[in-house]
Parts: sequence; structure tokens; C-alpha cells
Amino acid sequence: MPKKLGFIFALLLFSSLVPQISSAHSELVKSTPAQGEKSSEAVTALDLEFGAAVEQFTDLTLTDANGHTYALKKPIIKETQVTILPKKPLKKGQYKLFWHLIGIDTHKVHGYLVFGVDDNAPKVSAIVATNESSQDDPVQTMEHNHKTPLYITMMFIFAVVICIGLFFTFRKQPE
Amino acid sequence: MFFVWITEFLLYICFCLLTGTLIFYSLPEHRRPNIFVAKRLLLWATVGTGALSFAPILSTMITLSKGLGFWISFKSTLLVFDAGQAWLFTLAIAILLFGLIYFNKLHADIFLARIGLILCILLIGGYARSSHAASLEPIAGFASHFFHLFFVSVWGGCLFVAAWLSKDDRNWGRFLTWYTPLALVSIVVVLIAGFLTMSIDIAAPLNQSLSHSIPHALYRYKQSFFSNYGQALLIKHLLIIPLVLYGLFNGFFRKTIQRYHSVKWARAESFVILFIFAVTAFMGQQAPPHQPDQYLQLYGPSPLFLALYQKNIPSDFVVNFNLNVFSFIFIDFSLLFILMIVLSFVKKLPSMIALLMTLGFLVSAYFSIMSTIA
Repeated sequence: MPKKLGFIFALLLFSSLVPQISSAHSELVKSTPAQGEKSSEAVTALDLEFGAAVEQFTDLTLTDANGHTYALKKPIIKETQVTILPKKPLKKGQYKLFWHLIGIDTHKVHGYLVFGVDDNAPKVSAIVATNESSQDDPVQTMEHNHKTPLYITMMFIFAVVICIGLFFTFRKQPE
Repeated sequence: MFFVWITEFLLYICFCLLTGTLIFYSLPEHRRPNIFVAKRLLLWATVGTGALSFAPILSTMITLSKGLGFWISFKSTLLVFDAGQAWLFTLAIAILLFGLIYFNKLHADIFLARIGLILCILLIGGYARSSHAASLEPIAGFASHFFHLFFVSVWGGCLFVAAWLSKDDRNWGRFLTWYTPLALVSIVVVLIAGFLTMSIDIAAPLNQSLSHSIPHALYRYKQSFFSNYGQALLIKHLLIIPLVLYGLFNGFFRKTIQRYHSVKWARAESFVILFIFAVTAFMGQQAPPHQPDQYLQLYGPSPLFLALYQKNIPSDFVVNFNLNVFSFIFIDFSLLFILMIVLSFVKKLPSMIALLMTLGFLVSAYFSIMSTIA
């Protein structure tokens, strides 16, 4: 009987999955200008669509290739749709919008959008906003190999632990 | 974020204590193990669920208050954010449950204990409501997270209370006649619901058609290994193997071993569950890597992964598995550790030794998987 119940629960779970209401995450899904786009006209508004509803931005920075920061109006948030208006239209240049937002589940999500106006979109690593909280250099440059000594040390430790177990197994029981 | 890790861990324990005790109280006395749960402990656990589930909200408030000032961030987090509203619900239920436990003798009143159990289920529902999966898929995400959490509380809760709060092993056999099938069902539901929660949590946001098929979920799972989230998930999954082994002995093989010390091994099993809780609480605070290239750029790879992988991680990183000499050696070690766990049951070794072997299994199995990633 309890096994039957289990199957019913499993069925319920699967059936609840079938009508997919919306697949969604607090990451960027769509935007104008698009990620990596080369826009030919001056940009007056950035339309972002996120996968899950956005509660609030804690950080929103627009910088260009020279590290200039641009003033932004307060973002207009309608559930998953966010419109960001720069105070002045963005002219020729390479831009990066960086954000730090709080999603509906209180998770804090970082993200960025790179695009170019009359220019190619910049490489992500080329522009680093000053207040980005990520590591100084996320691209690791170390390429050393300490694997083999590490593995051999671990094997040694495992062998010792197993010996401890065997010692307890084969020692004379007091009973 | 460190304090949220601790509070979430304690919160899981509170859920387990409440669910376990209330399930026992909802049954006639001859079916329960011979337990004594102090009223004060139950009351503290109830206060704990209300107070500890506030921690993620508090952490959000602190993040927000840097720009907005504390009062505005307090108001908006509590009243506007979904998670805040879910917490207000949790708080209301916790107060009701507190009153119910405070003014009544639940251990002597099956009916009231069942009402308490319903309140407890609502508490778990309130918690699942503000989870990551529920924010992504309001219904399916909520359902899978809720069932996962609820059945963990049923299974782990009964085990905790029986193992730590029973006075002796009187009635233990009777307790096992209903607990063993219940535990089996719980494990099955926990695994299925956990898999669904995972497939929602780590799915890619863009290809919706693919995102819920099983091969896709498995692909995303292995691709998530470079992140803290994926590493915690892997460790959690590896721990399930010894946990099931402990459960098999406690539920089925106990009769084949003479003078089997049920309470001692139930306690050992509860330690493994505690370890899984700690890993889960850590995992809950990590962002799942929905978009690996952006994730690497913004958060960087997991330090643990980097310590073993020791190579550059490109943005289009693909995890491939290649068996080599080391992985075979580590697999052999893991099998040896499993054998040692079995031996410690059969030879009635101290449970510390069994737990040490479990740890050994975890580390060697982890190394065997990490050494195959080329």
C-alpha cells in the first residue's frame, strides 16, 4: 500500500511538470540591443527581459571602453521586463552594462550586457567596471600540475584510514 | 552569507524535529518507539523555524540597505518581495503551532498532534514557496521542492527523534514495521523530487524545449561541476550511497546480525543525514550556473574544483570523463571503504569507525570522479 502511494506521488510530480508554464531564471533572456550586437543608431533605451521576475537592482553601471561611467535614470521594472534609460543617448562607442539584482527568490544575481554603437561590441574582459564584485582576474592563468603528488598523498591517507578500520575489525573482542 | 549557511542548517534540523515528533504523537502509543521529547525542545524548534527562516530575508535587507537605508529596505523586503510575504506566512503558522504546543499536551492527544502535523506541513510549504526552484517555475518548482523537503523531514525527522530521544529500544520492532516502508517510499520520492528540483535549478534559460528532458538535465548537471553549486550537488549525491547502505542495515539486515544495537546505528545514520543537510544548506546559498560563460566571468570557478583540476577553465568549458589509472585506484578505494562500512556493521565496531569509513568513501569517490575529468 505505501508503495502504491509512492507511485501516485511520483505520477503527480511528473504530471505537474508537463504543462510548462514558463521556463524562467533571473538571468538575461533577451535584450535590445542584443548581447554582443553592433547597433548602427544611437541608443536611447536598453530593454532587458529576464527569465524570472526582478525585485530590485542593487547595482547598475553602464561603462564604456575607456572606463567612463554613464548616468542612468531609475530602471523601470515590470516583473521580468526592465527598461533602462541613459540620461543622454549613447553615441559611437563600446559599452558594457553591469548589474547586480535581487530576484524574486532573494538570490542575488550578477550579469552584464555588452554592445557597441557604430562599433563592434567589446570583449567582456576588456571592460571591467570599477565596482564589480567579481575576482580581480577571473581568467586563471596558473597552469601547474600538482595533481600526481596530491593523488599519491590521498592514496596514502586512504590506506592509513583503511588500516585503522582493519585494526578495529581484527582486534580481539572483549566479549 | 556565512550566517545564512548556519541558520539554514539549523532550520532543517528544526523541521525534522517537529515533523518527526508530531508524526510519533499522531500515532497510538504502542506504535511509537519509547520516546521522551521535552516540551521546551519542541517549543524551541518552533521558534527556530520562525526565526531561522528570517535569515535569508535579513541578508537581502542588509544588501539592499546599503543603497536605500534600512527602514525602506526593511519595508520593501518584508511586504513587497515574494520571499518576505512567504516568511510572514511562515511566521503566522509558527505562532499558531507554538500556541498549540504550549497550551496542550500533544503527546497524549492524537487529534491535536495531527493538527500540529498539518501546521508543520504548512510551515514546510511556506519555506518551499520562497525557494529558488519555485521562483523559476511557480507550480512545478514549488511542488518538487516541497515534496523533496517534506519527505526528507518525514524520513530524517522520525529517524532523528527515534535515535536521539528514545529512552530504550522498547517498541523498536513495532516502530520499524511501519517506518521501513515509509522510509522506502520517502527515499523514492526524495530522489525523484530532488532530480526535478535540480533539473529546474540548473536548466539553461534559453532552450526551453530541451530544458526538462532527462539527458539534458544530466548534461547540465555534469557541466555545473566547475561551480560551487555543482560541487556541493556532487558531494551530496555521493553521500546518498553510504546513507542508503546504513538504511539497509537498519531496516533489513538487522535481523541477520545477533544483538544488533538499533539505537546506536540509527544515531550513526542520523550523522550522515546531518552532513547532507550541511552540504545542502551551503548549496542553497550558491547561485546555480545557468549560463556557464557569464558565471565564470562573474563568480569564477569553485576553489575546490580548481584545486583538483589545476588548468585554465575556458568560457566554453565542456566536462569530459576519461578513465585513467588514478581513477581506477580511487574507485577501488571507494569499494574498499564500502566493504569496511559493511564490516563495521557486521563486526559491531564503534559507530565512529563506520563514520570514518563513510568519510573515506566520500573523499575517495569524489577523487575518483574528479580524476576522470580531463
